[in-house]
Amino acid sequence: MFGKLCKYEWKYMMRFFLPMWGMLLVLGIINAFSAPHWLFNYVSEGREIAGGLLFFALNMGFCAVIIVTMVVIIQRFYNGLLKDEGYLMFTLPVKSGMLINSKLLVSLVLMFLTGVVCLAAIMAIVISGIGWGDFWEGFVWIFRNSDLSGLEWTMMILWLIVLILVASASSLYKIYTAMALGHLAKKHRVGWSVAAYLGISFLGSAVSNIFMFNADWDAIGDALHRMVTGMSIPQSIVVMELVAIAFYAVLSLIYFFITRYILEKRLNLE
Amino acid sequence: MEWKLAGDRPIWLQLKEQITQRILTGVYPMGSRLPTVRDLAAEAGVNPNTMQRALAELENDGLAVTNRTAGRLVTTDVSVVEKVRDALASKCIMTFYEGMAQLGYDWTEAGRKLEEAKEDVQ
Amino acid sequence: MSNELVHIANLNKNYSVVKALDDVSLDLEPGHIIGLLGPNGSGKTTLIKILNGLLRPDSGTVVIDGEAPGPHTKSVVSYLPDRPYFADWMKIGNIFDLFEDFYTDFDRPRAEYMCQTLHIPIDMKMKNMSKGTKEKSQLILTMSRKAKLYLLDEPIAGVDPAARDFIMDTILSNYNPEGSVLISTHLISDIEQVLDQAVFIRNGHVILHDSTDNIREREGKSVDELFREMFRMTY
Repeated sequence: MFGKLCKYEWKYMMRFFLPMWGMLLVLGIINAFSAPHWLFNYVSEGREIAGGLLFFALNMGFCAVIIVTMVVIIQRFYNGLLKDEGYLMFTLPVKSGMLINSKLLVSLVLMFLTGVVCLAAIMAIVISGIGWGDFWEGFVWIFRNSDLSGLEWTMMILWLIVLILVASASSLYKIYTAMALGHLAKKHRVGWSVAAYLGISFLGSAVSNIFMFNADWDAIGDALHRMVTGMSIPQSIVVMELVAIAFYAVLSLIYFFITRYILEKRLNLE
Repeated sequence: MEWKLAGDRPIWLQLKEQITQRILTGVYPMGSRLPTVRDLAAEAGVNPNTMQRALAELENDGLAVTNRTAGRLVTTDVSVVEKVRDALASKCIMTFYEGMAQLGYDWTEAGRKLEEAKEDVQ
Repeated sequence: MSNELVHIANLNKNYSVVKALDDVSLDLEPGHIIGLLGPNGSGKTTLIKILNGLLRPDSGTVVIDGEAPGPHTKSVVSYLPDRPYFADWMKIGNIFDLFEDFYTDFDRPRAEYMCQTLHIPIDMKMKNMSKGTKEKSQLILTMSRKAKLYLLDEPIAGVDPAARDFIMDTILSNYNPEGSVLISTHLISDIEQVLDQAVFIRNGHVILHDSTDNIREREGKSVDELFREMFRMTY
């Protein structure tokens, strides 16, 4: 059932994301053709301005894509579960947790892929600017002169990706929780959702401030020092990453349980 | 033939009366198969359980018989049909004379009026 | 376990200070078409939403097909809301896919056949459909399932007589006879003949639950007349 829910979510999302990714890649490729002329060699003022405009368009494209991604993800949860479409989704024979998590998983994958597409667009410009040969040599040079190819560094990067995913998940769950809380209001539910989001953020920073001011930093420093003693740099970074992953995972779980509680016990579609 | 149903009497009774009429007038010929409960109910726009009850009552009167293989059939027994027809005719006649009595006609006068009406129509 | 399809005992639901349902107890057996009859605001929609799992009661018991509202009951309940639940981008075919994937009792050929007879193109977007066509599509979806319990919330409110006949005809010729149909309405005369049971609900109380033939026989009047009498007294 979970897979089927994701399938429907994915199908819907592709209507927005495929054209968006396409547009971004096209902008990247156009820039890749023009960039070498103005970015790396001076040609003429006219072409420089034209190239600058294209590059500006690409940057605007990045901004637009980030905004659209967030708007679509938020709107998909709100309209898909808390408005009229909720009548369809909440009468399907599935658990409420599945509805929430299918939306979350698809959103995460889309955010990740959007990041990959943005990266690809940038790479296209860099590669066309400095040429394949130089690019490849630089790549090889980085590997040779660092231990990036080693297992420890690979692990560090893999855990970093996990950390980014878990942190993104917790920020999505936070938005979902805010919308679920806003749903408890009788009127102005969108306004209350925004207020709830600000409230959660405020609460979060208040809690972390209290922790920051009251924590025994010397002891924490000592403990950390003892923990990473004898470890290599990447190993000690992995430790930090794991701590952060655990933190965001706990946060995600809290948000998830609040959201699920509200959607299961306090749902009140108009 | 339209179904006419009034709200103030049990629907099954009215359905039974109207199906009986259809049998007497040959809309459902003797020995023919009656439509299914579901089809009849949908046609009349009534609840299938109500139609079921009407048909069960029809079977009680002997006008319909359920055959395991062929479904529900109109009886082939002429005497049953004629008995029902007679009973309904008597009821019809009684209604006529009662109505005439309320207008001040006695039995004989009412009969004479009936004869006159027959001549007028012809 | 008895053969009750729906068992409701001492059900309560409040909206802040308003009592929407007040100690409602009701048992429904399979194989009936039941009218849930009451004026606007009497608690009909609240009761239906509790049965289909869209609302949680404050207290009381609800058992449908042996279980409390949840994934199992949702798989045997077919619900027609009093509003369209489609998003503009959907095509009716998309929702057929969805129903086919999630409801094992969905009869797609029947749904497609009904669309065909009504000239509703399966790849037409909801955005381009009239209000009436959307309502018909939704009815097709609801009645194409071989459900144990159909919950129809005000299916004939605000439609013309021709549409009403079509709706009642669709319900009668498509519902699963081993299941039950619960139709909420305040327009009783329009559907009276189709009902074999009536539940009267007033201010969150169930005040009558009987077979319609019993009502007619006992009272010598139609269910609609009885309803008008009973509800006139309170206003």
